[in-house]
Amino acid sequence: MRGHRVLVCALAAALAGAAHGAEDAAEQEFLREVPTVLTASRLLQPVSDAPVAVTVIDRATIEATGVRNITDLFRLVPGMYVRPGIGIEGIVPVVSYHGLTNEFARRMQVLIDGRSVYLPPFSTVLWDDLPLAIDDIDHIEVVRGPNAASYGANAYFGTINIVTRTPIGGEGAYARARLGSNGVRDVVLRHTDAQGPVDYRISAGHRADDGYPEQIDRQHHDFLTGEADLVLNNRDSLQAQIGYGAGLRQLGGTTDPVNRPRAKKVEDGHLQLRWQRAIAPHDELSFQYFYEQHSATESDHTLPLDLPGQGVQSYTLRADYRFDRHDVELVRTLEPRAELRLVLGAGARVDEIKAPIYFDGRPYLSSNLQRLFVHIEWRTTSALLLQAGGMLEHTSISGVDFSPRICATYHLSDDQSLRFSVSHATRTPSLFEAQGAFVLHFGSLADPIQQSGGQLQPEHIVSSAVGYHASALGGQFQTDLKVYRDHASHMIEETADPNAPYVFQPLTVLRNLNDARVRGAELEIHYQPSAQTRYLLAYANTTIDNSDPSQGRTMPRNLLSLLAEQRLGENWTAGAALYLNGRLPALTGVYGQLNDAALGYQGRIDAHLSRSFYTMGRKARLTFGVENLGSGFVEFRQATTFDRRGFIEGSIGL
Amino acid sequence: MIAIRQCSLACLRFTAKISVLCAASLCVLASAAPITVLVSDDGAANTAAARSFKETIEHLNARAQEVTIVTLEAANAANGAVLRDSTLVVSVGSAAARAAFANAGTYALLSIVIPKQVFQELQGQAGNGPRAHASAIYLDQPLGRQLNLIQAAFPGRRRAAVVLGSSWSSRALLTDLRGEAAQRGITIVSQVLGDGDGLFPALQKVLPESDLLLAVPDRTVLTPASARSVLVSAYRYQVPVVAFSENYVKAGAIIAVYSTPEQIGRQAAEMAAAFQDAGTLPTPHYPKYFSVAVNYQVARSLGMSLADEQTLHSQLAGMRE
Repeated sequence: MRGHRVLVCALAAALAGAAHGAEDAAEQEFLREVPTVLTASRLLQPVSDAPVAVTVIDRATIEATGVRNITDLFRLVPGMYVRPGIGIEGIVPVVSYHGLTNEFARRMQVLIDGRSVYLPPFSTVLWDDLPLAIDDIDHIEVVRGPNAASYGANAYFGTINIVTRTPIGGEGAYARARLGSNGVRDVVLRHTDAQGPVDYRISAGHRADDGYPEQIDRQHHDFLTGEADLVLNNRDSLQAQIGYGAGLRQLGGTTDPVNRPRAKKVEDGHLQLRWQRAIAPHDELSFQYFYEQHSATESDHTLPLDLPGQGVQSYTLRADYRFDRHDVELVRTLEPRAELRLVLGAGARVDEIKAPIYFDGRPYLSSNLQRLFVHIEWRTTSALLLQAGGMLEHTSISGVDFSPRICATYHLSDDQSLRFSVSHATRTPSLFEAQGAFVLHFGSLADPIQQSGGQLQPEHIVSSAVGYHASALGGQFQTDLKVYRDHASHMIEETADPNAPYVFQPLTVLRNLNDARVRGAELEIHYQPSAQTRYLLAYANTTIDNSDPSQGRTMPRNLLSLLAEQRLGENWTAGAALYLNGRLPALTGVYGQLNDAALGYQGRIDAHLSRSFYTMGRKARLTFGVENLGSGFVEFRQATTFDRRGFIEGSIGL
Repeated sequence: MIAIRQCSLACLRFTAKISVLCAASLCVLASAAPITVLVSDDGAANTAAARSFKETIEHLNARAQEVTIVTLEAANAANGAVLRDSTLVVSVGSAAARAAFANAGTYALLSIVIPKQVFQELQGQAGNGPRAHASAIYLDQPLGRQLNLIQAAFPGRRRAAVVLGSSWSSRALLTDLRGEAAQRGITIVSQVLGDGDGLFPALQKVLPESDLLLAVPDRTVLTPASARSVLVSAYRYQVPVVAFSENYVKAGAIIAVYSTPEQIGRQAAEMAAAFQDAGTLPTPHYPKYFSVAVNYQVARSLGMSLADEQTLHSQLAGMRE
C-alpha cells in the first residue's frame, strides 16, 4: 500500500510538471485553434434560402407527435402521402410525394446521414427493416421537388434526408419503453459518451406489433447501431457508423391456396465511414464510403394444388434475396467569395443482387453508376440568391443522364422571400424493371407473374414551382406556400398481357407507358406563440392527370394535418394531431381484381399526455396516449384499417 | 500547487541549456538595454506580439534601438542578466511573466499576452515586493465590451446562458457578469459545474431557457474537446454562441470580440514609449484595441442577419464599457 502511495506521489509530481507546462500556456485558452465543428455540411440551410420547398421535422416536432413509426412523421409534410402497401414484402408502409406510386415508392430518394437506403432491385424503401430508432433522429429534411442536381437520379419527386443525432455533446444513457394495445412492445436503449477525442453512441432496440386487425402482418424487429466521431486534429475528423437489424414479418393470406401465411426473415446492415477536412473556414472536403446490405428469407408452402400435368401436390416457393451496395463519394464545399458558394462532387456505386426468383433463376446481377455534380449559390445582392446545379450520371442500366436545376430566391424583406425553380430529374429503371422476370415454378410448370418489357428508358420529370416563405412575430409564425406543376413522362407501369400463358393470374409487363401531369398547392404553417404552445398545419391539394386513368388512385386530392402541443404548467405536456385524408376513387386497371371501392374522407386523431419528473436525479417522462381516437381509419384499402390503439410509454435519461 | 510551480520555475532557470536558441529574427542579445521584451517561446502569437511591439515603437520613438527582444530560454541561459540591466521588461506570455516576476532586477514590468487570472495570481504572490506595481494588458476582454457586443449584434436577445466552473475566480466572474448584464437589461442564466458534474446536463438546463450562450475562458469548462459539445449542443437548440476568440468563430461560434497579439503588441509599445518619457506605467487593464469576427454561415443557418464586422466594431467603440 505504502509502495503504491510512493508511486502515486511520483506520478502526481510528474503530472504536476506536465500540468505546469499547461499552466504556463494559460493564454492558449484565448489563442489556440479549436476543431471546426459546425462545418458547411453540418449547417442547415435556412428554409427561406432553399432552392425548392423544404420541410424540416425537428426533434421537438417528432416528440410532439408521439408516434412510434418514423413513416407517420411524413404525414406532416404537405403533399406527402403515407399509406400501407400490400405486396411481395407483406404489408409495409409506403411514403410518396405527389402519389403515382404502387406498393413500392419508386419515385423518391431516401437518405440516412447521406447514405441512400432506396434499394434495389425494386427501388423502394423498406422502412420497417431499417436499423434506426426514432429516438436517434435529430431532424428530417424533406426536399419537396425534384432534386437530382444534389442527390442524383431517383431524387425524382422528392428527397427525404434523415439526420441522426451526433454523439458529440453526449448525454449519457437513455432508455425508453412503450407498451400498447395491438401487441406494441418497443424498447430503446442508448448510451452516448466520449473517450478522449472520440464521441460515440450505441443504441439498441426492439420493436413489435400485431399489425392491422384481421391481417397476417405481425412483426418484430431488433437492431443495434453505433456511431463514433473522432477528432484527428483541428482540421480533420472521422465519423464511423455501423448498424445491424433483423426481424420477422408475417405475410400471406388466409384463403389464398398459394400465398400462404408465413414469416419473412429480414436482415439489414450498414457500415459508413466519412472523413471530413476543414481546409479553411467554409472550405470543406469530405470523403464517404458506405456499404449497405439487405436480405430476406422466406418459404411459402402452398396448399395441395391440382395443376395441369403435375398431379395433386403442394409446393414450396422460396423467395430469398440479398443485395449489397458499395458507394463512395468525394465532395468539396467552398466559398471562394463571400457571396459565392460551390459544391463539387464525384461518386461511384456498385449494386449486387442475388434474387433468382425475381430474375427467372439468374443467380447474380449487378449494376453500377458514376456521378459528377456541381451546385452553385450566388448571392448577387442581399436580396437575390441564384442557385444552379447539375448532376451528370452514368448507369449500367440506362447510360448517361444529365439532371439540371435552376432557382432564384428573392428576399422581399428580412421576413419574406419568393422562389422560382425549374428542375429536371430522371429515374433510372430499377434492375427489376429493366431485367426482371418474376416467375413461380410449380414443378415443371412455370407461372410468370410480372416481367420487364425490355429496352426501358429512364423516367423523366420536369417540375416548375413558385414558392413564398414568410416569417412574422419575431419568427414565432412561419409559413411556406408552394404552387407547382410537374410533368412526369416515360413512367414505367405495368400492363396485363392477356396473350401470355398463365396459371393463376395474367402476366403483367413493365413498360414506359404513362405520362402524368401533377399540379397543386401546398401550405405549411408553424406557429409557436410561446415556449409552451406550438401548432403546425400542413395542407396539400394535388391534382393528378394520368394518361392511364386506371392509375388514377394513387393519393387523395386533399390531405390535411394539424399538430398541436401545449405545456401545462411545469411538468405536464399535452399533444394532439389530426391527419385527414381526402376521398379516393375505386381501384381499377391491373388492380381492379382487388375489388376496393371508392373511399370517403378518413381521419385519424392521435392524442397524448406526458408528465416529466426527476427520479433518482434522472430526468424521466411518462406518456399516456391513443393513436386514432376514432373508429377505423381506412388507409388506402379496406384491408388496412387502422384501429384504435392505446399506449403507455416511459423514458429516462440514466 | 503554488509551491510546486515556483520550484519548477526556479529549476527551469538553473537547468536551462547553455546553448542559446533564438526565435527567428527576434533574438538580439545585448549586454544592456533599457527595454527588454521577454518572450515565452517562439509561438506564433508571442512572435506576432513582439514583432508588432518592435514595429510600433520604432514608428513612435527614436530610441527604438534600446529595445532588446529575447526568448525566455536565451535569458535563462544568460542567468537573467539581460533582465537585471533593464529599466522596463515587457513579458510576452505567461511563462515569461512568471520569470520576470521571479527575477530580482529592479525594472518595471509590463506583462502582455496573459490572461487576467494568471496575472492576478502572480501579482498576489509578489505581495509588496519589487513587482508590486507590475502592469499588464490582459488577453481577456472587459465583460462590458462582450455584453455591449450582445446588445449591438442581437438587440432582441436578452437571456444569455453561461456555464462556469466552481473555482473562486469563476464565481467572482459570474458575480461581475451579473452586475454588468443587469445594467444592460440582460439576464444571465447560469450553471456552475462542480467536480464530476457533466457539461451536457448543465447545457441542457440553460440552453432551452436562453437565446444565446456566452462562452467564457474557463479551463474547467471549455477545452478543445468540450468546445465541440458546447457548439453542437447550442446549435441543436438553435442558440448562437458568443465567444472570446477568433478561433471559436471559425469552429462554429456566431461572433466574438477579441484582441489579436498584434493589437496587444501595438498597445504595449504605446505604453512603453510613454514609460520612456514619464517613467511610470498605468495600472493593469484590458486591451484597448480589439476586433469583431462574425461567422456569417452560422448566422444564416440560424436565420439571423448580422451587421458587418466593421459596423459592429464601430458601434462597440462608441459604447460605454
